[in-house]
Amino acid sequence: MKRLPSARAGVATLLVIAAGGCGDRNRLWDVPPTTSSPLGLADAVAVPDPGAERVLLLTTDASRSLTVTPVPIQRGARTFAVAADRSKLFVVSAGDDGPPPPWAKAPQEPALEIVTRDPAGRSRYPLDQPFGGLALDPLGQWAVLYADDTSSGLVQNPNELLLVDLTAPPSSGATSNPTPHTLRSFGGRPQRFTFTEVLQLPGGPRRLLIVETDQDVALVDLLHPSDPEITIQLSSGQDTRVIHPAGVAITDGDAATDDARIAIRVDDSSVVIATLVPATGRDFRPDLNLSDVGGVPSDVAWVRTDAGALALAALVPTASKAVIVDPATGVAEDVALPAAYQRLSMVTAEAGAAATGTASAAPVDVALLWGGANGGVAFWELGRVAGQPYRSVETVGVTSGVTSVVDVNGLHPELKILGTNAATLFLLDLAARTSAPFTTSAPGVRFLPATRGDRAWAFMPDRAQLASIDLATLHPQALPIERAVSSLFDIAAADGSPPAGARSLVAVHQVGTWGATVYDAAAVAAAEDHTNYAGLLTEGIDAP
Amino acid sequence: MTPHERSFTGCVLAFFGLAFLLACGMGGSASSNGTESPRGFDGGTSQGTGGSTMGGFGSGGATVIPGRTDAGQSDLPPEQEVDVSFQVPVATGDFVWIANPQSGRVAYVDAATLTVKTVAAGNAPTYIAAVPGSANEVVVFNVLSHDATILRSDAGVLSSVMVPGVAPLANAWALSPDGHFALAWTDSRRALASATGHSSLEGFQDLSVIDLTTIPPAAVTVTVGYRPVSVTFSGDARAAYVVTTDGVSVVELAGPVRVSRDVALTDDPNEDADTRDVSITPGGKAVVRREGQPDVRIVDLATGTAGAITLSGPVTDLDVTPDGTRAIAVVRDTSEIAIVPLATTSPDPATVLRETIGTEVIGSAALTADGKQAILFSNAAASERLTVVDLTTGTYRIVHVHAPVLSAIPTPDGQYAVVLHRLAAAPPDAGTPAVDGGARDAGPTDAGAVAPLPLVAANAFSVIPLDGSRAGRIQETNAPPVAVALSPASDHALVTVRDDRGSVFGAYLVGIPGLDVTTLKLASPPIATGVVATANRGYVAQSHPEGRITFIPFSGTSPQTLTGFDLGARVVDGVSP
Repeated sequence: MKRLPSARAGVATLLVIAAGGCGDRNRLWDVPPTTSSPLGLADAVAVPDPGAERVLLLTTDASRSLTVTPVPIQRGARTFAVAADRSKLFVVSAGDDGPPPPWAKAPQEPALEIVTRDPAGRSRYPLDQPFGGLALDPLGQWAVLYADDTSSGLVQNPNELLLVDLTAPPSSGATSNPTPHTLRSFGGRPQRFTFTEVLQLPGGPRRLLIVETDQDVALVDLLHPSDPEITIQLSSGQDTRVIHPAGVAITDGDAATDDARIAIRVDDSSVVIATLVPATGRDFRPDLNLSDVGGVPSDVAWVRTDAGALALAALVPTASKAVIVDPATGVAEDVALPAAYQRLSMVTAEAGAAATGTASAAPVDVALLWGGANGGVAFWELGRVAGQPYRSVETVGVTSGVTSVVDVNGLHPELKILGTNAATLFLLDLAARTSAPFTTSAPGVRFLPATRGDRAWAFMPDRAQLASIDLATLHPQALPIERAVSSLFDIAAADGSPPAGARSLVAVHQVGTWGATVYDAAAVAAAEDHTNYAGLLTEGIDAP
Repeated sequence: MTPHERSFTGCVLAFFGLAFLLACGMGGSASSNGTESPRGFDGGTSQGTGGSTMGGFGSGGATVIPGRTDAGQSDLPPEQEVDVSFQVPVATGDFVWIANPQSGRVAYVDAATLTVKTVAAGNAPTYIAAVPGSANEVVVFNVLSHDATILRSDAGVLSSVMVPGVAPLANAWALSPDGHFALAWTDSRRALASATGHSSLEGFQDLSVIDLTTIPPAAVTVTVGYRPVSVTFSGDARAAYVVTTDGVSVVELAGPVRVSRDVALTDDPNEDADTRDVSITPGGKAVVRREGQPDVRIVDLATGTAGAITLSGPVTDLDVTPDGTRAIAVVRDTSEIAIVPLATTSPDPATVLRETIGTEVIGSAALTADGKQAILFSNAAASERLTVVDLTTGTYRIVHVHAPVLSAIPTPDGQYAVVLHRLAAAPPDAGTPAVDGGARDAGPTDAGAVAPLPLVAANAFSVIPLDGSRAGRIQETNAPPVAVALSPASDHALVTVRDDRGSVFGAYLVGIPGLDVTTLKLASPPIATGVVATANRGYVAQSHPEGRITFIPFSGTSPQTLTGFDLGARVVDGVSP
């Protein structure tokens, strides 16, 4: 690990170069610099450098000092991914699968490596397949590896999976971790993996891995990961038409009943609803229902309507409508929408406190509709008003097409940053139902909410432009920066020095040997202090 | 009338469907000011809502309600989904079976677990029937391959047997009560009414007999009379009686299958068969009523001998008790009910029990399953009364209901009846009035003639106790009822409603005797309803291109809908395939 005060950065670079000129030349000088994008952990910026068989962890302290810690990884790294809670970096490597190991190096086998700032949190799961695909459990328990386009085997089975229990150690003796699981295929190959939360299934609490292939859906019981999965074939088999799954939505239903359901959105005008009911031979089986929603649904979500009734909401942009489906009866009700919204996000907690059903005080859901070519966003209150079902669609004064919705979280969970297809962004207040516009110098400005939720950062990729928006006053402020910003990270400056809870804003410059500019994320609006660093990729090459 | 022995080749079917056979044949005046308890009756009166009778039902069966796809609402084309693939289901002990002509498969749904599986049949499996006496066996006619598939589920194992060479135009099954024989035949009324239709000269005279006890089963096709309308079996199932325009064809089933004779039902070769109402007894007698005629003709199908008894006026309805010993005839003009013994073809008039129900308008009769009670009513008039007659004692009571009666369906135990109602007057857009078997009491027209009163089902039904012990319940519905199913235990009634114009579809579950009603909205038009007794739940099949059925537990738990039977059957479980 090397700390890089900015004044010494150039000197250090020179020393390293000089050292390389004496004695044996480190072979890593001969590999091209990384082209992998940096990734943000909660307390570090991870810079993958697979050619150098390492990951650089950039950490900061409250004084904006940047420390570069090279963490060795295996050869043949193909995939880098960050855990949902940003606590870990996952690295999938093929090791020396295929080409022989470098001279005098022990051969390496494929592995899934976990990299953390704390060395104690690092671990490695050997794999028996050189897979490149990785899907991570949002709850942090599971990882799934599969063959994707980066996998290097001469012949690969795309339906072969490795399920890694991240809460258990690697295989030892009789215990197998990862667990190999080959999906029974009817011609499809995995396209998307979804981990459910704990569902109350007939056989007890259970988590499932839902694998969407390009023509069917498989349910893997994660309590028994080696058991054969349940496959839901979506195509009739009576003609050549292939129905493709396009996404799933999951609900545990009512806690007291075995009514967990999975809604499968497909690329025709139907939604398949699978109710997980008791079965013989295993704990559950899916009962399938087909609901015609009158057009290709672009998004679906489970919602609570009046009196807490569970329903499936589907957006059908081709008809500028939403459809509410009663999962028990299949009864579908259309709700006309003012625009062809493509996406639906549940914002009940932030916006729905006042929305209650008419029949009781049971809460009803509130959805945010967005993603139309125009029409901005709308609030959709899913309560039933007497004689007029699902009446409450309320547009907000956003006229541009919204292309992204970014959660602010932290101090302001009620705020969303709406990206648009124009040089405008909106700050949507779900509680007050206001939308504050911000214009940008050009389209394509990217936004990053501060972890603390008190501000948002804005930058234009590959341009030396950076700004801060105070989310309380809505005041934007330009920040000084000398180099073009490639990516931006808000990380904890957790080195134990006061003040506790300090945070840093790290702008990474992916040019040459890479550099970084570090700001105090708390004081940046009041001061222009920032520190520049250079030569990140040259750090640690000669470390033992 | 009894649910299994009657045929009527009149126009009523064209308007009201098969089940309306029970209510056809009304005529005469239609005063509705009847009072109660003339001589010989107990005079008991219930002020509760009443019941009327409509026809066949039974364990797991459905009753199609008349008056729905006809005048009034029927002037609108139904909002149907395209290419409805699945046909009307049938229920056996554990399963509900649904044929899909397009996929060539039959879906069978475990009514307890709602597990859906499918099995291949022949080409275009379309007409399906349950085999009596077998827990889980059905026979399916494959329209395009002109063969039949016998499907049997035994201890979770499904077996399938193909039977080639079935009558190519068959569109109906008749199964002997003992499950020995399956007869594939052509219901000429259905064939002629179908969209594809047939040549007006087509006789539909092929009938195939399949002996289900032989291995392998084989079909024998015989020629019956011109344009069959019904098939019934003798009590010992050694013969089948096919009512045709020509009369009754007697098909011998014991020994070599053959048509032993064609028995004429009239001495008048010019008689219009369409006005004939024929009931067959298990003992082999045909009991015939002709529209507008006062005679009840009895024909011995074994000997061809015939006799008649003449009543006080035109007989408007005629039913035979399930044991075939008596016929119940109704004469609306004189409000007379006559109980005719059927021991001989020429009963002694002194043995015919006759009673006049005061001034009540009674044109139709419905018998309870045990044949001990008759429910009399008229739907030609806007009558809001029923007459419940105890056929063993001759006593009766007048039951006032709160809306005009369209039909009545007794529960299997004969304790209650589900009454469907009609509108008192036709709506302005009722379209061409339907003729209800000769009703002529709608009041004078401008020309001074009497126009038939159109029958339009009202948005309501009632459930009444037939013993008069308590008031019944009338339930307003949001669409006209279209079908009723009753549980074999008589503890639940399931009424489906359908309004294609307003896209209103639903079901009403009635608990008996509590008369509590649970309503359920349906996603698509109901086409059939029934009960799976072993699973203690009812079902409603609905019109949907992928097939849709809703199961409604009688236990009070939530209903469940299955849509896409082929899809449901394509779940592959590596643990429990």
